[in-house]
Amino acid sequence: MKALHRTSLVALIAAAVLAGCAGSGRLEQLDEQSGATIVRGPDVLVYARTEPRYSRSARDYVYLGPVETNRRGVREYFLWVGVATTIDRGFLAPAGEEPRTLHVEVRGEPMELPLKPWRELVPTGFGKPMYSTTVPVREELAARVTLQQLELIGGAAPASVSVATGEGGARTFVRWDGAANFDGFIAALGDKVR
Amino acid sequence: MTATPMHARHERVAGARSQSGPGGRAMRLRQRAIRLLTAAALALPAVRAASAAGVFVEDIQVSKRGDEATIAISLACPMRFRSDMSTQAGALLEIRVAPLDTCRQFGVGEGVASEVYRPESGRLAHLTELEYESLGLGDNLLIFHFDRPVDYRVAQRGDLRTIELRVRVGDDAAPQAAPAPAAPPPAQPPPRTAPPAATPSDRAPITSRVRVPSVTPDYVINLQSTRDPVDMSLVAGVKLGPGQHLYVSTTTIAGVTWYRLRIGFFAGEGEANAVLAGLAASFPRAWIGRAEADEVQKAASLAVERGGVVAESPQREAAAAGTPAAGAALAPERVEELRAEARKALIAGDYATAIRDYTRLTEAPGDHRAEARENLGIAREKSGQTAYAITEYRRFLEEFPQSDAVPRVRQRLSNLVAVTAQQRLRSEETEARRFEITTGLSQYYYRNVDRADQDQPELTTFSGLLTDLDLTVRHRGDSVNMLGRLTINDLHDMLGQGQGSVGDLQRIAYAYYDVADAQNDWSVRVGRQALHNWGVLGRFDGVHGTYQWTDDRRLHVMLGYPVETTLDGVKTGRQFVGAAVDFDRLVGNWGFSPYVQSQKVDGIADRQAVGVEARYVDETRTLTTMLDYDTLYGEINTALAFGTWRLRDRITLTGLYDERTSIFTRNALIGQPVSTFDDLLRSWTEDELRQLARDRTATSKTASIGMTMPLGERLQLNADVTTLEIGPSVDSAGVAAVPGTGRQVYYSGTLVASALFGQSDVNLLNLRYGEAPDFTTTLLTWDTRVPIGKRLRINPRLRLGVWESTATGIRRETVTPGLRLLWSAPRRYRFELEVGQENLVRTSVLDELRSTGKYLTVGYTADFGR
Repeated sequence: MKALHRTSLVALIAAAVLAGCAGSGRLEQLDEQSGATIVRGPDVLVYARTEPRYSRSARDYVYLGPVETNRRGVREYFLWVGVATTIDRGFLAPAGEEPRTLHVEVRGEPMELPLKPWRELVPTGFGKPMYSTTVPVREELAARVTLQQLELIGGAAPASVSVATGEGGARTFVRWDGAANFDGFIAALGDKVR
Repeated sequence: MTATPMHARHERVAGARSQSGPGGRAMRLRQRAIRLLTAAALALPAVRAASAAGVFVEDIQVSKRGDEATIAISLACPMRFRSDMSTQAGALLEIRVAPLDTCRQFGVGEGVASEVYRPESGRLAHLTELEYESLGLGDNLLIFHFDRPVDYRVAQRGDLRTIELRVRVGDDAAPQAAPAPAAPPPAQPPPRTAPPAATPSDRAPITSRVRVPSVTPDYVINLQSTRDPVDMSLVAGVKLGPGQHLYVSTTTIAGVTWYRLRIGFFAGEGEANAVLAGLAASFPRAWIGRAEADEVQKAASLAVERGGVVAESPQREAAAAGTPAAGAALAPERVEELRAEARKALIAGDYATAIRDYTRLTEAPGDHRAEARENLGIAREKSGQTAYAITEYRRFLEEFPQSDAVPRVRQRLSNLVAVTAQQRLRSEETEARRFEITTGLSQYYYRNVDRADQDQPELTTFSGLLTDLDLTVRHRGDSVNMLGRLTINDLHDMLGQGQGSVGDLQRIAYAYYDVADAQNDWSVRVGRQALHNWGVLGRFDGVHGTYQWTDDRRLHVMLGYPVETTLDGVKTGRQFVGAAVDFDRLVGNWGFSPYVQSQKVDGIADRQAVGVEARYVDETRTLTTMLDYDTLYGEINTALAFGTWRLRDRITLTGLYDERTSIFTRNALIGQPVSTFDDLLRSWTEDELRQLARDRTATSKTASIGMTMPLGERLQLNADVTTLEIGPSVDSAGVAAVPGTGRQVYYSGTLVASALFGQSDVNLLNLRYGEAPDFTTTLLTWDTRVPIGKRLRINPRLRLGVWESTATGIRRETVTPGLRLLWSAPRRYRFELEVGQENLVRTSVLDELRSTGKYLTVGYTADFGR
């Protein structure tokens, strides 16, 4: 009997652990502050830029992730842009300029995506960044897009993207992780709504 | 039955509503209801006036037949049904409508307006209240409050002025919901699929169940993006819906202007998708996006004028129905009419009208097209559309090369291009004519305190202040650019006399003046400089001139005096002269630089070399090789090859082979008691001196392969294996032989981790192991730099080393902890402090020695620009 209890206890703990893991990786969450249901993808597209004059091992990164928000049936789509760096910006290297626009080339033509602070576009009550990234993001931005744009960007997974800053500078980031795409996000949406 | 508005309220508010959530709406409605009931009795005359001026819901009629009630909403002006959404479990229904342009006279789109109705007959359909809210053009809501959840269907009549809501009312049970709007339940994710469509037999079916954002429509179809101005013939067949615009939006990306042909605007992606479906064949790259508010506002002014094809409203579209489609022929009368109108508009400065009419004329076949194309160019030029004007003129010259107007069109085109070029040039000139002065200054104090053994006193073995100054003056001129650079350093020895002071030392690393053609066709650099190409072996005082006669051919001429140490001034004892030619991309990705060098020392030949450098570069591989052959000694001086190869997954391989003999006649001085060749020549002939030089010269061989491999985004592994061997020298002329080192092999692995504890920390762990015929060495280094705030970095270090002689048994163990602080002060200054101590334990068969060496470095660097 004791063995049975112990087995049950172990099973319960295992189930709880598994449930916890599943919860932390949840793609769809209800933001109680705004009442919006927010869906994100399991993966982000990772782009990197090296600046060898400052460091050969550190890089600037931008992470691109798809997001759907649903407020009382109003569905909107965003391309979440996480800006991160492992370069000692502001000390060894100049501080990074604030990205204003993301340029993504799809089908040979540029898609210009104005960026705004993520919290400004989608004021959620989530304390953590929308996506968990390997390098902690120092700035969360986003562009308002359509589902079709997300499909195009995720499908194309461009080899590089370019970030334009308010000061007129432009920096190109090269695809870092070649395996990720937005398929998981599209699948998470289930029946697509256009 | 007919219901008249119980109350209508029309107010204009500049800002957007502040309460947007469900709870906010319920509260707002309650407050509004109270205010309205209070005001109703007091403000009836005003209501009448308001009704006359801007009541949008003219009438509400409710009827019932069987178990179905019909609510017919008569609108004051045409509005298109967009979508509907049921909330509060079916007791509250929102219908979104989009007013057409004719609604503007009622004030729609100019602010916020709202109306509230409680029709007596509403009970037939369980309707308790109807609200109308206008939040601007394209964002208008009809909000139905029912006393219970209802099933409904929405339809709209063809005149777009009536919305019908059919409500199933079979159950006459008590109301399930309060008459007044209640706080909605927590938001639930609505189903992703739309419910089945309602299709009344006698009305246009409206089936959407997906509510679109309650904002101004901003979904846009990007038909195409091109680097050239839009070819208007492409848009001939594009039909637009009411209120939509076909327009060109430009943007500059990486210096390239893109012209984006767009249709806007749509309330939702689905709506845009439906339109896109009909255009996909003509515009296969089209996509749907979201436009910024600024673009939405400007779209009307950017609209492509296409002579009636653009339909701003159903009325205009209907009028356009009688207009021939773009590209179709125009009746002669219509052509004359358009010509007259366009000419009149052009003269009057109404360029928008002129552009529209001339565009229409260029699209229709006929003899008028040449004149229309030319005048279209003029109209665009005068309206400031320079790029478009240039395109129109060019098209004219292509289409009508025989026209009498060709000379003047060509002249206009030429003027326009010249003006554009001049503007660009003026801008560049202003930018170009300027001086830049940059100065780098650093001062570091170094102090070493050593103790030879634990029973010995500490001695200060070094104390000095090192000052570095780097000054660069650059001037960009119209035809030549100039650059001057001076880099000097001064060591102020602060050890006292008799305590090992070496005295103050001054060095000149660089001191040159550079003049180069603005196009970099030629350049001359004079002074102390350094080169490691074309057979030049480092620093020299002299001249380096270049001349480039094609894009990938450049001649180099060098002459001067080699600099043995920067402590020296100009020493003229050795002179060299050399020449080289760069052939870039001579064969495929290969480039070559053959060269010749001749060097003399005290009047006799020191080095005479011919050589070639070869370079290969492609997307993943680079290879640099050099072969330097000394014709005087008949030996290879240098054989070098260095290559990199980037593999998949960002693994980079590197390889190096470097074999050097570096034989100079001057080497004959090594070990001799004299310091000039004149002295040596008293005892030896030139040939004998060359043999002495051979004897003194050892050959070194270095080979290395390495790998760099990122392990994710924060980790990187660097590894390499290096072999090193220096050959022996020969015993001769009273100078003892120096034995060779034998082959030494070093293995090194470094793990670099970034952002382990935050965003900017860097952590390095290196293990290096070396093996030689007579010793082994192991060194473990840990080095981390952690940010403390924005300006301070703490950099602890620890180095552990073991060196052991296999021949003598001597073993040295070192432990060297250190700490460095870096503070980046505002405005160009950076301060640095480093302290550390090396603890050495040296053991041999005879004794054990414990020594320490403390070191301190403190200083600053400052950079001043311009």
